Amino acid sequence: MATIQDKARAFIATKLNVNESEVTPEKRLINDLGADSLDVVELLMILEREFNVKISENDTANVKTVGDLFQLIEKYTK
Amino acid sequence: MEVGFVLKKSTPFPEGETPTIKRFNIQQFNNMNRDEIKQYLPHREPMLLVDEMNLDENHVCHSKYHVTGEEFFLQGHFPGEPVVPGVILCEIMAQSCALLMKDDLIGKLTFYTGIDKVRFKNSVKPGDTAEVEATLTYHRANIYICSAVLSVGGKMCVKGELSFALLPDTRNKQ
Repeated sequence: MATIQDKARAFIATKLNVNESEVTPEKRLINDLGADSLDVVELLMILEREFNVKISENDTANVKTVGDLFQLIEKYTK
Repeated sequence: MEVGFVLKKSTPFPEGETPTIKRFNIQQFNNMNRDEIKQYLPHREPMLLVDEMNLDENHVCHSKYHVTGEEFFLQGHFPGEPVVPGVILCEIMAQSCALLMKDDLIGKLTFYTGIDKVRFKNSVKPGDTAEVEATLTYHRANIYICSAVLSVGGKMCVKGELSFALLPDTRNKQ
């Protein structure tokens, strides 16, 4: 059964047009995976929609890595 | 041909959690004319492409731009057959979207960050009044994502998703 991280990884890979194997927690969205600031905001929008959560602006302010996104989704889907 | 396209009203913001637009005093933004619009939009002639706007109770921006036929962008596009260029139609929608940001616009300049899913259905010509419905669909930090539809006489001409970044206006600080 796919975990929350597996699902999030798939959404991130699709959005950023990279292989899922590249979407590891330490990867920086902008510097390592080629995202720009709009990509990051669109990723947040996609993850909120797909996981049916509403992430606060404060929590999204410091999102820099894939791991940051994983932690956010896990926090809000608990 | 799609006629009577209605903006999807769904929003990722739960009720009462629209961080940008909840501060708006709706009454303040009824029947704004060009001079009032200039208090918010940094655009000026000949690139100010909104003549009037209203914000309804659902935070949808309704704006109008009257195509006089004298606009610079009609010169040469096309000789003997003036048609408003598609990029200008996008700009008309973009300025209407920017008005959704209202107070956040003050002291800022708006820059496109993306144009997505844009479809051109009908052309806009001199004498037409372009009517735009624009909705803010998502906002984080200084990035705003909006949906917009531009129609003439109830007939949809363009629809699309536009995104923007608001950056500090440093023009008076140099």
